[in-house]
Amino acid sequence: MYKHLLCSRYLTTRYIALFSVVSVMLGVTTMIVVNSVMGGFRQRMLERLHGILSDVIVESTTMDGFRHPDEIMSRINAAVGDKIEAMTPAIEVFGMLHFQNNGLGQTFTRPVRLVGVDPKGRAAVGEFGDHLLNADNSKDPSFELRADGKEWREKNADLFDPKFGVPKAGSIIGYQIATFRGSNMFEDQFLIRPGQEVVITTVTAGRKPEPVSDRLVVVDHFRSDMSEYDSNYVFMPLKELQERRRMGDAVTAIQIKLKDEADSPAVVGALRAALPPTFFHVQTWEDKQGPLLQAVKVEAAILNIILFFIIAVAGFGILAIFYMIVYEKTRDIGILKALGASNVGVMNIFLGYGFILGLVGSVFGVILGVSITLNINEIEETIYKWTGLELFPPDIYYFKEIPAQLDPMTVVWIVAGALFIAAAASVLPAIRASKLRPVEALRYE
Amino acid sequence: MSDAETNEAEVILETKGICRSYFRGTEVPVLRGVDLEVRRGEMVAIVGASGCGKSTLLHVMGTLDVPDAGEVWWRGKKIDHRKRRACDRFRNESVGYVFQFYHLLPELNALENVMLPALIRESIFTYWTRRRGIRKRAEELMERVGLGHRMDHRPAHLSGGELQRAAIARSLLGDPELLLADEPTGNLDAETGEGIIQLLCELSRDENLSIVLVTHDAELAKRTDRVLRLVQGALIEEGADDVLPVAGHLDESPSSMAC
Repeated sequence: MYKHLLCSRYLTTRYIALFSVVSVMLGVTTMIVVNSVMGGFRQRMLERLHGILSDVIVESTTMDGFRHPDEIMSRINAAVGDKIEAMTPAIEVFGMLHFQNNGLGQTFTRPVRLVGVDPKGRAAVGEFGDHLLNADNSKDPSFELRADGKEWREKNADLFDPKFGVPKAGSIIGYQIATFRGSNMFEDQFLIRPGQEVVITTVTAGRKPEPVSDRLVVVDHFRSDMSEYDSNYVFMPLKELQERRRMGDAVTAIQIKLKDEADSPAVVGALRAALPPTFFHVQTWEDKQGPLLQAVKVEAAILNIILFFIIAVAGFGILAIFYMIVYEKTRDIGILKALGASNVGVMNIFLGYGFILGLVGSVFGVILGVSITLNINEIEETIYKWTGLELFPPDIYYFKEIPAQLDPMTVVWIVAGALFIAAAASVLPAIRASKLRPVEALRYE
Repeated sequence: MSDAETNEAEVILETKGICRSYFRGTEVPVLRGVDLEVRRGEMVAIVGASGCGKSTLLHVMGTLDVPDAGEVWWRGKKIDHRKRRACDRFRNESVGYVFQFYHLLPELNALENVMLPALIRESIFTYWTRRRGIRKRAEELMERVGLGHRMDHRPAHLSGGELQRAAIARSLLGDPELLLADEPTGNLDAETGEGIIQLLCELSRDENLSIVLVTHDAELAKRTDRVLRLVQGALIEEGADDVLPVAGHLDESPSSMAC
């Protein structure tokens, strides 16, 4: 009983030990906040990648693609049709995009990834529609020029030569290709809007690739908040791209959405068996983005190890403070032993004390960490208002807000680690206290 | 206690040939075969010069220190100083300690300090069932030593005499048969010391408590049943007249010069 009583009394009377509580608290808080933000980033990134790529992708091993996609889709249906919710063919090739900004009087030429899609089919296998800025396109994706584009063309009719007319094919341009933001600007500026025209250049399929170009009208912007896609992708109708590249009915990929994503490995296995590997490369969206996902995972693990040293430092603080307290309490330890306290009992006082310090620090750390995580965007905004310092510039991180996600299991592990370190740090001082000879301890002044 | 009563009473603690040395650059023998019998209800004073081994003898008797040679017997059973658990239990249940510097824990109030031996003895579960009895006994002892009004005070707010009274109450909580007191009045003024002496004498008389005390206080030694002088590591029993100091201090008596 005396161990519990003394632990609680030391906690409330030895104020120097509260520094240990503060250091544990700050360590736990930092780990919770950083893990939540990194977890949020990872989760948001996974969702975006998944939404863009669909569950399973069957790709051609060559840019020329494979012919008769309907027949290939029939074979896919025969192999794993019961697990498929939707699938759609697509072409993905490299190309060049060229356009003129009349306001700036400047032309822009950029390398892009040209993606030929059936917009409705693409929306059925992923979140294509959700990433389109035009509200009508979000509901019903299409390469038709919508009201905003038509209006812009009418207002700026003098910029177009009437003899060429409106280009037959529409295109959806990645948001980062179409916009820029200067250093002192608070909003993105559009370089190219719906209704304007762009020229795309790519190569024909076949034995001798030849360059081909065509005019397209911009109908919308694609914004996934994933820089890799928003700064590279230009979507155009599948049939138009097949025609330009003289591919016939060939496509380079078939995207598949499954009824249950958990079936992905089984579906990939079945399709690898059903389709010749010489022409087809079958993988899940996670396989396709493997290096990126692995890099994020490794980054999170390394960061956790580094951050854990913060709590380890707090552990050394506990060790130093405890040594001091044992030194200071030498005579009291002698009294306890003179009154019949065992060595183990004395040791348990300091082990329990260390554990309680860790527990109190962890509880406060969890409260603070969870509070910061849940209000991280408000905190960032307040800091910005007070200091003008933007901690989370959207143009760098490409999210409108900090995507923090609190994982209860992570919090449990962090607390367990903090408790372990606090208890481990008190072992040496506790052993020293237990080994004190009562006669020498009582003689100590 | 009269001499006749003393001789008839049961021996509760006995030391046989206790030897103990310290290493201070070279081996310094402090106790050289000390034999001592303490009977039930007897009050024994051990006197001698500073550093002659009085406290060491007390610590060996109370199992706080381990003798190099010799034996300590408690109620006819030999105490094995190497058996830590048995020694811990012996100190907790059979012996009460009173120190010169009181040694109360500063984090606990006076009542909690008095309850400390019981808190050490009981686990959190057994304490919960016996807490009322323990608290009641501690309060009785506080009243007994005249500190009924100071129970909630921390040691820092008590005077020297009050601290020593609380320490005596603490030593009595487990109803020990033997009280070992190491210079209980050594840190008190004469008037306060007198109060402590009276209290110890009352306890010995009323509770039939055996008390072995180490002291330099002639007044205290004079009022015990027996006075033993530690000279050159051995105990010599003295008559009451011998211990009366020439100038009020026991160390100044001729025999102490030999220690």
